[in-house]
Amino acid sequence: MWNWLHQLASPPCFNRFVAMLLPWLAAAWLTTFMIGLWWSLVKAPADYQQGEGYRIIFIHVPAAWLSLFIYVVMASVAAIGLVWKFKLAPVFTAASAPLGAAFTALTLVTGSVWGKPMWGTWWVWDARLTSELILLFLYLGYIALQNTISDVRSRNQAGAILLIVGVVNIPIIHYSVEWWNTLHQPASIMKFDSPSVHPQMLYPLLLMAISFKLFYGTALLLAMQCILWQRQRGGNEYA
Amino acid sequence: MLESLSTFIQMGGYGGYVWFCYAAAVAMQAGMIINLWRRRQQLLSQKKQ
Repeated sequence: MWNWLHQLASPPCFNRFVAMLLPWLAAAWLTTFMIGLWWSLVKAPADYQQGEGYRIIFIHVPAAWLSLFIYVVMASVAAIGLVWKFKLAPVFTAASAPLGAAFTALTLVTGSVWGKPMWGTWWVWDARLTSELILLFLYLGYIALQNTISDVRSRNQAGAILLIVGVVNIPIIHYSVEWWNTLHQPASIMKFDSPSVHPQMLYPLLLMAISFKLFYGTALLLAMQCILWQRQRGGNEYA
Repeated sequence: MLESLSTFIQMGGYGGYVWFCYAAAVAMQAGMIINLWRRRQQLLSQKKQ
């Protein structure tokens, strides 16, 4: 297992791995996304309180989950890379950061557009909204750090340390709706007892969440390959 | 048929909000994949030279 991981982390083997996996990931992403769109826009019933307006949930919640998921994965890979010196670890985190930032921004924008008709405001300094905004700054901070430090080793180390320290924000985002009782509604799905959402709303939500993760996989492999090839060419963007 | 299409687009008065979010999600994902794919092909052709 360990040998296999180290082998996979070598660039030539990684290219073969990408060539094999990419078409399947892309196909799975597109299929789940199409079905997810149809289910969430057409098949799912209207909400008894928010009417058709609640359908934003099928974009907002999967985007929010993915924004947290990418961060946790990045921080874990950074920690592993720091300890066991995987060559691909910094490539993995550098490729993930713009994707994570994009989904964090999508979460904030769709949340804002949902908040306007339902709460009557685009933005409040609610704990959930603020901690998600801090997540965006963590992603942007990591990207800025990658672009400013020119020495490869210190850049990789500084990036990894920033990611690991920033993990404290993740439980704050998750529990913010319980610790501070403000405008954002509490969790209805990520609960220890059974979720309080109707199956016809829960299934498309989970399908969209899977589809978003498949997108992350597809885009991640493409981005990692671009960074690796750029490095080999001696381009200085990530070298 | 035409009437049901227009009620679908109106989304019970939330049409603008709902469609904006779906359009943003579709445009973001499609844009990123197209962008990355183009860069990949560009780098691939430079590698072969």
